[in-house]
Amino acid sequence: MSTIPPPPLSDQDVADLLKPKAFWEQQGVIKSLIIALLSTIVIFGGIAFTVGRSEGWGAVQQAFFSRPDMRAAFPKVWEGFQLNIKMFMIAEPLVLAFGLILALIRIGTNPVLFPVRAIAIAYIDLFRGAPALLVIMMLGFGMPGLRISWLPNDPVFWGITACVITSSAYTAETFRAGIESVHRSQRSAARSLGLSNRQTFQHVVLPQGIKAVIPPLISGFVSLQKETALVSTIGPLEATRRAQIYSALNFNYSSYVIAALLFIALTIPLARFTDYLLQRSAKRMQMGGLA
Amino acid sequence: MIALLRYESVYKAYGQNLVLRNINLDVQEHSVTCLIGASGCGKSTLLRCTNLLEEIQHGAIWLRDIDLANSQKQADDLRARVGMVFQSYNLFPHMNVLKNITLAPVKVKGERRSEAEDRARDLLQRFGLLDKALEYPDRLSGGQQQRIAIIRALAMQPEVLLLDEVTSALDPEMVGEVMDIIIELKNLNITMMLATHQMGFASQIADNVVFLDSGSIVEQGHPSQFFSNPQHERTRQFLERVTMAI
Repeated sequence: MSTIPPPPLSDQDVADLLKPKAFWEQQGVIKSLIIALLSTIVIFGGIAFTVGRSEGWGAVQQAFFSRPDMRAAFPKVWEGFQLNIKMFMIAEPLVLAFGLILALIRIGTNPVLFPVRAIAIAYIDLFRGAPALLVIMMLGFGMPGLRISWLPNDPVFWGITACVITSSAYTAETFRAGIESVHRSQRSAARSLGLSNRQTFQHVVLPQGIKAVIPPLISGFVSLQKETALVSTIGPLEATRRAQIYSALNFNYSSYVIAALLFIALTIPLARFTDYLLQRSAKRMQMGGLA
Repeated sequence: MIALLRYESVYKAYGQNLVLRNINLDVQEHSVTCLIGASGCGKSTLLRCTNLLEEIQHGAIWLRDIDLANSQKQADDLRARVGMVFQSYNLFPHMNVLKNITLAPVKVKGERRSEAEDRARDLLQRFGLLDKALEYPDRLSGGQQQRIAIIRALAMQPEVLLLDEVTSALDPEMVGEVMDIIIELKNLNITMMLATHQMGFASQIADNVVFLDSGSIVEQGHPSQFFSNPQHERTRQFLERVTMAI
């Protein structure tokens, strides 16, 4: 350590310090890239090598990834997939509405509504725990089995109903978590301005609570999309059912892979949208650091 | 002269814990009352009770000729007549500044939106914040947020404004801008009650300084005599402690 302090940087040097750097000029980026590349090659190369060298790979590839079979199965599977989309589009708004109503009943404190609250809690406990597949089968086979003349017989109707029942129990808990995450001080502020309990809830608590749980709600959409595949067990010719028919006739499972690809293609945009929302809210939080 | 606010023998407990004991106090119209005392002495609780955010267990709080503490039925109307500003600003994060200010006038008083917005813009302009009208709270500094919170309370044209340690959460360089707005309100003759830890500010702005200790009023008086010649030993000890801290 010298006794003379080093001279300050010249203006040019400071300007160099502040100059924006290209991505690859940043410290350690090249090294990180090389390591990432090598580990990717090792891991994926290893998997490909092991699977490709395995004795049965040829047969498995033929059974699951046969191009001609995929092409042949596609029209019917695609036709069935439209039924999945239809069931999802009908069920989702109902799930949101019903889930929100359940959540509102659950968080209420009015003593008169205690019985309703007890029913809501029992409903949520029951259908959040019961496997969707069982609910679908019980409604799909059980309800028409009752032979009540005015009840619909359509399995699609009962499939959608079962999806709504199970998903709304989940969604209710998501809404409740969001509403309860709104800080008490927000209520104090609204009440101090003279807003009634109801107005406070409607204009201050509920909008913030729902906003907080948009990403998990979208996650719920994705599960619901997949749940519609379970409706195949009670008969409707949706994508997985079509795939099953093809595979039974042709002794080839590639039709299932096509169905899976269609489901994946539908969920990826939603997943990216969720990422975008999360990123945006994280950015907003960081800006709060100024305060 | 009849006081704007009169506290009569007010007791308040949280469970087994008595936080206000026998509070008797008059707040005159157009006056500024400063509540001082150590943290937990009951300053904030007294303000929260005045705004009916807390129930009292005994006594009466009169706003002119209405007993606030015993009129549950019109509680919402009464709250609207008493404005309150909090230590942590509590702006609504999902609404822009203009919406924050106009929500209550539109929903509670039934003002037309355009009318309420005009008045909000007037207030923002007077306090130098008009350019923030369409910003969201998280884009503003703490000082700006707190000034907006004060404007939001003022937009309801309350008869008394309660300020609960409104500068305590702020960075030092932002305390001044919030104090300036409070001084301006005093010059506009707005009745205020403030809980504060800033003795210098209290002595500058108060018409009446009230010292609370363990939930009781120990001493009150005009700042000129209160700070220079406190009558009680406990007041002297408290003032010594806080001036030493500065």
